[in-house]
Amino acid sequence: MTTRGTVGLAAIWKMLDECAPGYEKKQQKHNWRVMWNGRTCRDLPLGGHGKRKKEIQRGKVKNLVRQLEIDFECAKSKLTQL
Amino acid sequence: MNYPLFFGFRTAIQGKGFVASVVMNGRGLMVEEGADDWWLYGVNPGGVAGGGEDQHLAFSEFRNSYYTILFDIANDVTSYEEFRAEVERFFNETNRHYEKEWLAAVEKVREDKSIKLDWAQRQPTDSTPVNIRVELVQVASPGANELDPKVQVAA
Repeated sequence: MTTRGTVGLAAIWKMLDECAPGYEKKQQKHNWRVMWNGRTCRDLPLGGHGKRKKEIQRGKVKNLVRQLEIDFECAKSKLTQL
Repeated sequence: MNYPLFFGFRTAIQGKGFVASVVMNGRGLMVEEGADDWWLYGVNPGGVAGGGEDQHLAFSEFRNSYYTILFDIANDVTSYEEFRAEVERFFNETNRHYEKEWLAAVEKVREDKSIKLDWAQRQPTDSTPVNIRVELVQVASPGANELDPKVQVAA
């Protein structure tokens, strides 16, 4: 699957619950700011407006995992699209 | 093949009661994740990524992502000093995973002179700065306007 594949935002939060325990998030005007392990990722998209399921490009999720230095295998075990 | 790139963006950002000039000279890794699926991952600034069907689209999306982050910071802080501190922190938080891959890609580029991009010239790493400069705009002047530098392949 290419990184044009997407991952649901709810699944990302669940992955972070398990692979980045204690993470913090703050909604900003354009992106989510996510903090963990003394590191920050400012480039997680909000995932669109309204009630539709919010989907995030796989490349953005990979970037989040790498920037926060989350164990990649843990993240991949929760998000098989990675 | 992953391509180690140098790039730069010049912009003025409006904050709450101030305008700041942001001159960034950065580096990132252009990765072909699949067919018609290119991604530029930032090393400095780390934590920025942009993707598209070709390298140009990926670069354009990366630039837009970078700008949205500056906009978010401007929206979040209450002073120029806070803005400057946050932007510098953002730029200097190196993405260490992609840095390792960037350095490995530089070695490949150095070993094989045939590796190139038709839209970016090769540039030695030891003579290319990677930095960010944030300055308060006190007096607006057209002399301060500056084009973005061309993208280069680090060698």
